[in-house]
Amino acid sequence: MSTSAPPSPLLVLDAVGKVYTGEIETRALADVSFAVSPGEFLAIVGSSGSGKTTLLNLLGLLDTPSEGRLVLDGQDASRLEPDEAARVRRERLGFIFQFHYLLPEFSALENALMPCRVAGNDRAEREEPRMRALLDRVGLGDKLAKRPHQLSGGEQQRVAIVRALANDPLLVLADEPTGNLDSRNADEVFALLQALTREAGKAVIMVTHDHELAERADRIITLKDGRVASDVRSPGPKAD
Amino acid sequence: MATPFTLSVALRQLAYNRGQTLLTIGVVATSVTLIIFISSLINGLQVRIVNNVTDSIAHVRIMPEERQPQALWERESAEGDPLAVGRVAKLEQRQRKIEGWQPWLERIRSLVRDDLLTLVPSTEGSAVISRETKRIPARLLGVVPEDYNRIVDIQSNLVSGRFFALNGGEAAIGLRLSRDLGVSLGDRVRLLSAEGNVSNVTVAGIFDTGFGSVDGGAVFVPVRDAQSLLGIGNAITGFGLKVTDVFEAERVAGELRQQLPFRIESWMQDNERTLSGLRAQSGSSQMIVAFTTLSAGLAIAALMVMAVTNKYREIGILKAMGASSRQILRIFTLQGLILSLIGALLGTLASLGLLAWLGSLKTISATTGKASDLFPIALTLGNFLIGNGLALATGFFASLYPAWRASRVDPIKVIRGQ
Ligand SMILES: Nc1ncnc2c1ncn2[C@@H]1O[C@H](COP(=O)(O)OP(=O)(O)OP(=O)(O)O)[C@@H](O)[C@H]1O
Ligand SMILES: [Mg+2]
Repeated sequence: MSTSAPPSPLLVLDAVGKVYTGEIETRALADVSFAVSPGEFLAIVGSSGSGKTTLLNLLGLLDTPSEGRLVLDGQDASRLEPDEAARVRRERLGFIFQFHYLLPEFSALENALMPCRVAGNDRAEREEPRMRALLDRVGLGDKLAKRPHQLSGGEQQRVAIVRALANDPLLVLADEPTGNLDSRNADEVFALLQALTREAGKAVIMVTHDHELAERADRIITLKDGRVASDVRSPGPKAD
Repeated sequence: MATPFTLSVALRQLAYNRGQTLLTIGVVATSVTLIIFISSLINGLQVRIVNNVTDSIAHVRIMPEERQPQALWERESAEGDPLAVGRVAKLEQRQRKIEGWQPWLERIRSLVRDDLLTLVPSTEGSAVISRETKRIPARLLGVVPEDYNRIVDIQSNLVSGRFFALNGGEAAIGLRLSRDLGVSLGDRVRLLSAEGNVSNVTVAGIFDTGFGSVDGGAVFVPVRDAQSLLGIGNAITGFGLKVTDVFEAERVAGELRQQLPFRIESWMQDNERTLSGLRAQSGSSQMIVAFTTLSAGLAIAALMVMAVTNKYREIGILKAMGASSRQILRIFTLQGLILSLIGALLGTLASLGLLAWLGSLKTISATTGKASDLFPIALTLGNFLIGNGLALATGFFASLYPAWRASRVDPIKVIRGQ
């Protein structure tokens, strides 16, 4: 049930916990341990308040665990300085959020390239052909120059998916990436996410409320009251 | 330091929030215009006021000592002669004059040296100028016209007749005095000095300098004529000098006081009230500049805080993507600099246009019909640099707080949709 994948794990969580300090102390996560292999598509499910977003923020180095260790690509990333965490996010991680959060001042293509621009402009130039191809792949080939407000919600989320792959990350983190879409769009966007990451060999950790979508992942971790309640590999044949 | 990323985000956001951008540029431009305009106008006013005073007089006047008893006592204390007091008391009753003045002229010239613009001996006294029944008190000035013209420019302000090459028995008077007396060129007038000497002279020149005291109350005659009217033989009554920088006059006067046994006065002493008025004016113009800068700074900061607040989500997402706090800080300080740069440029152009327009306005003198500038304007490079420098510094510093707030945006809160 636990770490048994042959290749060295991309990500290892070792007894990770998170307590929110404030007026009232809230324990959001306790003793969370699991490992993720390269290329793995992992879904995290659980009822509201079970700690899914908290976990994803820790994995995204946006927050630091109160206890335990988080090892990313062989490097302890549990308590990095903000600038160092930003560098790791820039180089290793891709994000997709429930809301696309595209920058309204930039075109679809420019938004997709934004992580490369953050990392340095020469990189954006290098990656541009790949981003054009990916946008074309998600059906936006003729909308590269459109601004976000000229795109539909589903189109915007597709740009966000492409953007998450811009800096060639090791791991893509997605918090309810289809939560804001109707079921038909959600289905399409999920399929694209799965296809693109699989083609590029990227690992994905996706938080979702949608059990149907979760079933299509390689593996499902269920959180309950901040603990791992179950960790199951999907038996279904996904190698279509 | 701007990177393509920070610069492009900064510029795009400015272009996207056009209303806010134009508003901020407007604030900067208006304050730069105000600063350059106000300081140029006040500069110009001050130059005009100072020129009105200093162009018609000697900047430093050197006269025989008035308070002679004590001063002479001090000077001749080596003699220790108690009789000196008595002798001095007698001296004071005598006409105040300087005999054997040529060596003093050289002495003064060598003392003032680099500050000296012009140095002339003067032979001055009081007189009454009359024509038939009209009698007007006037200042009698015995001059070498070619020399004296460097103290007050009479020659180029002649309305008729001559000033240079004034002959014995001739006088030059102001247009106003000539009207008051009802005389014209070639008429004869009578001069009665305070010493009781009388001379009849021909009006050989009439001038209009625009300086009231010169045009309405001065009578210029050759030195010899003045000397005999004043009864002082070959002596003179003092020296007048102009210095290169009018505001150095008091310093020069102070240095001369140390070295010369004369009474020495600068125009700055005589016009202390005017000068303190000018200082108050400079002070208030600096206050205007300071408050303009302050309010522009606050307006820029307020507008940018608004812009940052509207950008919370985008900022959070950029940070999640790995943008550092420093990069975010830079985006907004760049915006502050860009806004103030454009604002300063527009403000400079606007102020130049405004000043050019005001400078072209003329006023026609009611008495002489001469045209002169309505607004005295002195745009110095200093005004220009101060206006623009303040704008840039203000834009930068005003953007620091909004930029700092932007750099502190927590991506977690954004992601949670808070
Ligand atoms: N900043 C915070 N300070 C205090 N408590 C917090 C904070 N953020 C989350 N929590 C608490 O931590 C627990 C886990 O929250 P989290 O957002 O991770 O849940 P979730 O599984 O993502 O829920 P949902 O499905 O509603 O998004 C909840 O009890 C929540 O109230
Ligand atoms: Mg959540």
